[in-house]
Amino acid sequence: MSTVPAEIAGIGSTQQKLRVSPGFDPLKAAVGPEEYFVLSRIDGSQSLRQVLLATGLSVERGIAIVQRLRSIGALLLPGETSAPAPTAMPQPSGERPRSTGTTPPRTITAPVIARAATPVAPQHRATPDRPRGNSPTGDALNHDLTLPRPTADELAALAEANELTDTERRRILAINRLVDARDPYAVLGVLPTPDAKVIKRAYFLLSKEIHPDRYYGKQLGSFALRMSQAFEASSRAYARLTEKSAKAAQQAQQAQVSNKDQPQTPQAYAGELFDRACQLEVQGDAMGAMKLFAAAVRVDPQLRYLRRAASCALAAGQPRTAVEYAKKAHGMSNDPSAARLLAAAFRAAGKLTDAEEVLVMAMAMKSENDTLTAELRHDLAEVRRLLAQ
Amino acid sequence: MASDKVIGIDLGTTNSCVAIVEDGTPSVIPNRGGYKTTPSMVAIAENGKRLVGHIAKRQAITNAENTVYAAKRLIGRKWGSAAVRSSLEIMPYRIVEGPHDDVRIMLRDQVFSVPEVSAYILQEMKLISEEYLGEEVIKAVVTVPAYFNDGQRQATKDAGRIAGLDVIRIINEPTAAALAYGFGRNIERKVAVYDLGGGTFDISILEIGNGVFEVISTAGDTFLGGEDFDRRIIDWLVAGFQREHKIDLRKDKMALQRLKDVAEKAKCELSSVRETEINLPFIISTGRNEALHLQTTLTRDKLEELTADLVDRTVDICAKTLEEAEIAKGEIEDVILVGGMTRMPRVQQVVAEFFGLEPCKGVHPDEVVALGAAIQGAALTDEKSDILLLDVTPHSLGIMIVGGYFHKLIEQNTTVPTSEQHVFTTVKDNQTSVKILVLQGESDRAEENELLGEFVLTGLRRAPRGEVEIEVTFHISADGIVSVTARDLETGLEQSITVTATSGLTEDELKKMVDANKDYMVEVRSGQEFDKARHMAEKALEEIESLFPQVTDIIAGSDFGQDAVKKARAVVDRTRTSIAAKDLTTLTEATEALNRTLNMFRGVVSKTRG
Repeated sequence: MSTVPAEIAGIGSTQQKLRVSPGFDPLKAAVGPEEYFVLSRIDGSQSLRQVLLATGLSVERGIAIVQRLRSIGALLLPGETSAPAPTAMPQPSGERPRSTGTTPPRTITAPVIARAATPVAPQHRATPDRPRGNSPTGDALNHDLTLPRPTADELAALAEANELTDTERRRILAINRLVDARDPYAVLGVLPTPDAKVIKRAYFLLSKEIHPDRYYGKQLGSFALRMSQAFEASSRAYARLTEKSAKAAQQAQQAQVSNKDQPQTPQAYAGELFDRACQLEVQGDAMGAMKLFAAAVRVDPQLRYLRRAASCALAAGQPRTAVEYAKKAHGMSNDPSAARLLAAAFRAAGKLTDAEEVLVMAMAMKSENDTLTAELRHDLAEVRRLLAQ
Repeated sequence: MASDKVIGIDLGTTNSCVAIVEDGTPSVIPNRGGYKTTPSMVAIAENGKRLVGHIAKRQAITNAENTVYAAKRLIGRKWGSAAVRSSLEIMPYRIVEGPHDDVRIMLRDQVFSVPEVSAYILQEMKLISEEYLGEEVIKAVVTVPAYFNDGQRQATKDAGRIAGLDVIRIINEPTAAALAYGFGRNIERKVAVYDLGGGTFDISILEIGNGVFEVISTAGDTFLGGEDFDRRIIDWLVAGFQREHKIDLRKDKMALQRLKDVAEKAKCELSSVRETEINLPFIISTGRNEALHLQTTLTRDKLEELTADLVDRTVDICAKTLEEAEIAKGEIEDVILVGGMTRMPRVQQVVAEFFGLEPCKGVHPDEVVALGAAIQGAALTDEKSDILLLDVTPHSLGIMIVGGYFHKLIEQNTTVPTSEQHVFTTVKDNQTSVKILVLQGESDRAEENELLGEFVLTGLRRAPRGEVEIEVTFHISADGIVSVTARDLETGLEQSITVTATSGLTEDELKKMVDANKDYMVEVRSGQEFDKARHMAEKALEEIESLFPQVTDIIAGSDFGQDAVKKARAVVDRTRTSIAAKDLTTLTEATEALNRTLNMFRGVVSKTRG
């Protein structure tokens, strides 16, 4: 298939102009580079067809990515103000108020961060926001039950004779599609959120639909295994999202980006983190700076970032971290100044032999920079003195 | 016609209880005598008749040797275990060794297995419910202490089968208690269940919300319960009598049984009064036609002093459990007390102090477990039920690896169903088979854990060690059934078992097996990692060696040229040594230095070229 079809399962006409959901955070949704690229092409002024043709990816791949982006709540269809709950969900017993859709749409007034790489169309600013996050009662599970482009196996499963309803089958199949997607939020059917309560409620709600005990003694056919796999995936996703340390890290990240409603490239984001880290370092908050440096380096491991992170770690008295960063920096560039930084990190970490070795190698390389050579010589003398002790 | 109703049975150490959910309401079924609980006692009378429950308890003094109590302490245990050893001393009935290193009980020259004895109690509970319902009952959910291992659970299931029951699920007692506590209440909170019963102590943490009961953590001590409190009283009484009369009352089985009864009674009384009289006339005969009496007073303070360490131990376990689950005390919003021992004021006080909140008083400690079992029975079979229990596996599961170590695949307290896989490799050149020993427990040493089953995967390709990869997959279903599959990744050859009843292997036998099978053991993938590291190191070495002459020429002129060449040589040698020593740690370190050197070499060469 090389031509763009008129319609795509789960989305509809390719003539539609899709927009990026303002509340969508690509960093937390674990979007891959290709997906991010496609996302960055979607600006509300080009039709989906144009976008698919412009990506340079195969049309099939492009469609798959658009569908995935849609399923994780990244894309809005024309006229939509909030990411969809794909199919009507059976309400669990017990009356609880639904808040989805009752919150009035809100207009984003935050200025777009001016960065050349940020692919943001101006009309985004006027886009009405969907209610932020998840409904507090967590009663809508966002799985894409339309199962776009079903496989033969999935079609057979849907037609199989067993005692499950169509919705139940579709949800299990939809979750099994996500098993390898590494997006715990998508598996649980929630939009990314740091709210442990929302996550727990979604997991409990989902468990009631896909835990094998709920179908005890029923004919499940191939779904006996499928259900178990889907439930296991949801348990893992839940465990991942509720792990104490992970939670703290995620919350920290959330706090950092909470004022962002617009998508931006990872590079731009890393740049911003780096700038803020530098600010903090200058202000004397080495620990705070370290966290941001770490985040920046994780998103975009640039030589410049790594060097700065290493020297900050040294200043903050974290020689091990400094060694890690300096090693990476040295691996990217074998110039003497990188070697000097690595040697300093080794020295701080008490690895004098390693430090000496790095310095000797650097000296052997004959730099034209006399000042640097002098410094290296000085460092080497110092390390050798320490070694001799 | 058999009913499709599911009864819930709390098969307790000292008392058992049965309950059922009818029209959405769980209730305890009283026995013929109108009591809601039935003593977990079985006796064989002089005429050979089997007696169960209250009747068995009533004749226990006169027929101590043929009356079994606390069989739960023996179920699923090995003859050689410490639990059985200590039971031998204190039980008035005869415990003998079974054919599979298991435990048998001898009553009037008849040998019974422990599941049989438990089956008689279950049968009694079945009868009670059938009389009440007016129809045959087949299906049951039976509870066990959270800390029961697979063997003990399986033995309990076997007991059900002997009793003519289809045990559709075994659930943990504290979990059952939480089900009963949260049933019909629209609550969303984290609760702790403190269960101090006749024979065991369990602590469980659950998260309840929207009808879902998620077990977060569970731990306990299989050998800490009311019986231990009784034993402290017996010890105290025996010691006092010994001082006074120089006679050891333990030697007399009938006296021991009377001591046991009076100790239990005194303990219970001291929950409501401050002191109690202990009076045992004619406790023993001196042999000179003269009978001695035991008469003394036990105060609550004395009892608390005698049992202080037992109560403290429960608190220690609570603290450990919370810590492991990374839960702060303050997060617990309610504490549920289960088990007769929690009536003891000191226990209540200590629990309240530890958690900083008054324990929940709404549940009846003797009935709550059976009610919870019935609720789970209904949750499984009744369409209208809106309850879901997310249970966890109580012990870690894994296999034995080379060196007799235990490699965990599934950690304890993992929500079931669950599955986990790991790739292992062969440990010997030309190894054509691996033996997979499936173990359960928390120790790093394989022989200290419980063996659940074993199988052999054969037909492996002849290859150098570490080359053949075997993928081992564990799966635990929602009803706790463990299945293990080993697959040769190259050929797709597969071998699997479903772990059921435990064989009765002794520590010695298992240890012997460990030795005998060392060659067949598989290794954790670290061998594979080493190979990978070696491969990378060798590639770097090759490139460095090829660059050496060129680099030496270029940098020879610089001040540090000679020095640098020497250093580079040293790094190369170090790498070679660690490859030869097959040491992954030093190799990783050496490779790092090697890559740095290579990096520099490349730089030097490119600089001159440019």
